[in-house]
Amino acid sequence: MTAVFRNGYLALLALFILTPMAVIVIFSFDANRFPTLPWGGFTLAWHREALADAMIVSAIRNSIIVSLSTAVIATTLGFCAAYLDYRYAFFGKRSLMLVIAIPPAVPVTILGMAMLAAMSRTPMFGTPFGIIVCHAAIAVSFAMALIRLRLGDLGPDLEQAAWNLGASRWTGLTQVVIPFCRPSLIAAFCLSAAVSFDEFMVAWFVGGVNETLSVRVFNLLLGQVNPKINAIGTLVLMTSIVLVALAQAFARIGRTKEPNP
Amino acid sequence: MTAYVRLEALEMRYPGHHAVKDLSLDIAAGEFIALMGPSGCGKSTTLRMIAGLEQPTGGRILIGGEDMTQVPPDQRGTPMVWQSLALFPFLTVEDNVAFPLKMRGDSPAFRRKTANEWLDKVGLGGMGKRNIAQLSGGQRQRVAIARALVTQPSILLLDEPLSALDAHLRVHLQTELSRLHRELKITFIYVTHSQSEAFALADRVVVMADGVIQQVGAPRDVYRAPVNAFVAGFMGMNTQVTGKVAAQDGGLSWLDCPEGRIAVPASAPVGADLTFVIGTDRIRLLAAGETAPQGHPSVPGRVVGIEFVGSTQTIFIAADTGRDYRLQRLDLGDDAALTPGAAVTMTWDPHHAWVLPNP
Amino acid sequence: MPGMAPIRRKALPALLGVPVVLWQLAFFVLPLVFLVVITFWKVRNFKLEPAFDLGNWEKVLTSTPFQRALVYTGEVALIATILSMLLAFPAAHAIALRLSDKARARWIAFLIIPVFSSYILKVYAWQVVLSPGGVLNVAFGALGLPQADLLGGMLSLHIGLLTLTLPVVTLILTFALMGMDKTLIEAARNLGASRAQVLLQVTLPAIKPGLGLAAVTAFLMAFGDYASPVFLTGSNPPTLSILIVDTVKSGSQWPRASVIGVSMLAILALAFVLVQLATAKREVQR
Repeated sequence: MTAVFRNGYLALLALFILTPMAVIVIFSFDANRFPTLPWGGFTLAWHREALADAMIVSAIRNSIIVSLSTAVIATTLGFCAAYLDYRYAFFGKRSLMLVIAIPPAVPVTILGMAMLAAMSRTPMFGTPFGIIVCHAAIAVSFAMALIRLRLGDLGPDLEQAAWNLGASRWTGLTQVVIPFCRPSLIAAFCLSAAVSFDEFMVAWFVGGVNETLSVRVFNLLLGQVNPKINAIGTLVLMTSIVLVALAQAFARIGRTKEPNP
Repeated sequence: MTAYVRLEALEMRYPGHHAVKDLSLDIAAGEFIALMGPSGCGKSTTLRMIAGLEQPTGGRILIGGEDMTQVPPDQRGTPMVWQSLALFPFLTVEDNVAFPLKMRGDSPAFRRKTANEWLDKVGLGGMGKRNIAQLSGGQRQRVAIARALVTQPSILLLDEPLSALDAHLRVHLQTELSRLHRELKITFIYVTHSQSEAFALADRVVVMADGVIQQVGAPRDVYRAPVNAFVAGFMGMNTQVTGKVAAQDGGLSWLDCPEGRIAVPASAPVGADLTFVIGTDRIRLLAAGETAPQGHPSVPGRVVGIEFVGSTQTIFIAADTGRDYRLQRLDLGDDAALTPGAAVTMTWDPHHAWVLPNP
Repeated sequence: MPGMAPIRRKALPALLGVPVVLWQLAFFVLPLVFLVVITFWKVRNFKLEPAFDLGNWEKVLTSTPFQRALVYTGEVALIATILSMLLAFPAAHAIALRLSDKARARWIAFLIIPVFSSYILKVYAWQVVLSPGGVLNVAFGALGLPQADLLGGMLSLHIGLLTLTLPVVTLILTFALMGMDKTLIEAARNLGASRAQVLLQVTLPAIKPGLGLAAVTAFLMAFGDYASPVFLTGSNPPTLSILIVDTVKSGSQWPRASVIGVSMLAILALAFVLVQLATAKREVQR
């Protein structure tokens, strides 16, 4: 493959990935009601209108609660699982790692239906809490992967050095392992938050009337063409991109800046 | 000798691997002892068992008369210096050194003061606020040593602490470790695969192979009087010659071996089998036309090759009997004739040969 | 004291392990097991009742709409898999083997972003671009080209599915190519293989497990996708995911929806195992 052809091909791929995102953002500032050419002039009206919509505002509130809570739980559980995998050998470890790793591979329609079937028999159904526990079960897979990657760089000596210098197992964990993993913990937090923020099927099934922002967007899409969609879509898209970019930045800090001596 | 550290019949079995076999050793208070041997001989495992990082599958470890075998590593007071150093990359230099004090529950003010005192002692005064990544290899090494000594332990364990450094730094830090040992008067237990390091530092060396102690003694004694073929080989005396005693003459026995009739400093009955080794620095080449002195062996062979290390050279010789010899000497600049294939004759003083007690 | 040590040693892993085990069992494994159980339950007076009724399976598996949707979904997923593999490979090859370290890192970062950012919005954006009065047609008109009915067909459906699969597949292939021993390529060239021969005889065999993983992932994503068929073909014809959502949301036929879901999982598991078997690396015993 010549360089010209190669770069041209990569440029086309980039264009294909960027086009839908750009369309959302650009038309959110278009004064036309219907998002098409020609450009109808710049406006912030749709953004203002979207943020004045009570349902959207309440969806934003739900999304913040759900994604932050999911991130806290998924990061905590993900760290436990990653450390368990890193440090110990025990019966059933493969099965445990499998039930942590596999949820994102199950189609969300099926997962959503299964979780709805189970949740509808508990008081958690129709509450943000119900969405949180389900999202955490999905996001823990990503959190564990990021943290496990970092633990791979820890090496056996650092923790043993802590014990050798007077740290108990627990203190070694809190004073050495967790500080060492801090960048990946932050990365896991951001990515878990992004996964939860982005997910709409499970949230739609399990959440009942408590809509998250992604569910609100989905419901808007099912309805009439509405210029608010682009405005709120821009917010959703930007939030996701920032969270994923942060996750990547923190995941990288761990891997390049502190080479193990 | 009163033992400060006593290892009693230590055993370490991993699935499919018997790392340490029935190991017993007494180490005196204030002694500098080196455990040495090839990789996989069990020396690091022994050290890690003393630190409590490995649980022995048999035997006991006593420190200061107390049975420590079941005590967890954080309550043993046996700080260690790692080959990897194991410095905490997310802590500053000062916080690394203060870590054991923090674990002990000392106040922040005391921690800071003590850590900085130790940084001064290892020549890193004023560097407490730096990150580990900003230090050179030698400086990191000093941080690791200060961190291990900050609680004023009665034992310091060192696991190949210098092998990651370049030769110059290594010698420099050897001197430093010797100084620290003299000043602190505590027990140093040092694991190394390097003979020169062990000999330069230790009061006594312990040579291990296959999880078993082969020989314990002062470095000079071990070098001059290896107890068996393994130790002799580990000391660089790879050429071992076995023969039958043919005659006795004063303190010498005459052996019949493929190289001819050779005298060795031993008194053994005629007909006994003896094995002797000869230090590589004790063998000399005869000059052209020179004959070996009366009673000295004369072993003909051909040069295989020469290796130069600084001012010394190692000459590899295949004796006409087929046995490989090695001799080390100063590079005298007279080696023009020693091209591969050149015929040479080796000789040595029979009193410099060493007869292995248990062949 | 001696007896204490083992207990303490097990306390920490238990403390760390028990919550995450319970969590995944309660909120992931249990719902899926329950889904299987429901397939045997009965609906009476619009209420689910525990039973052991194989009738749901029989009704669903023999019904024409299900069979049609199954064939259609499988076809779509298969085409999407082939398309994404073919389109992703040249890009992955360029990113992994031709770009500088810095450019490669940037591309990987760039490709990760769309994996986690609002797929439904992007599908909607394609609707905006492709619709009869949409961006592309207006642009065509301005250039004097004829109007094209782009929305609602296979083209728009696969554009949507590629939005989903292409970044992921490119990433997997990139990592696979980065992980291969590059001296193999140099050695093959050195021994007289042409570029095409290197690709077919060395590179592709070397990343076989990666190819398998990429293909399974693409198939899985396309097979289970809901948004693209809904927004880009107007649910016509329906895929299995659409059948599930419609059945669940209408609220009455839970057992039948469960049968569809469990069948889908079985098909995906089967696909996974088959590809694993086909691409498993036979390690040379050393």
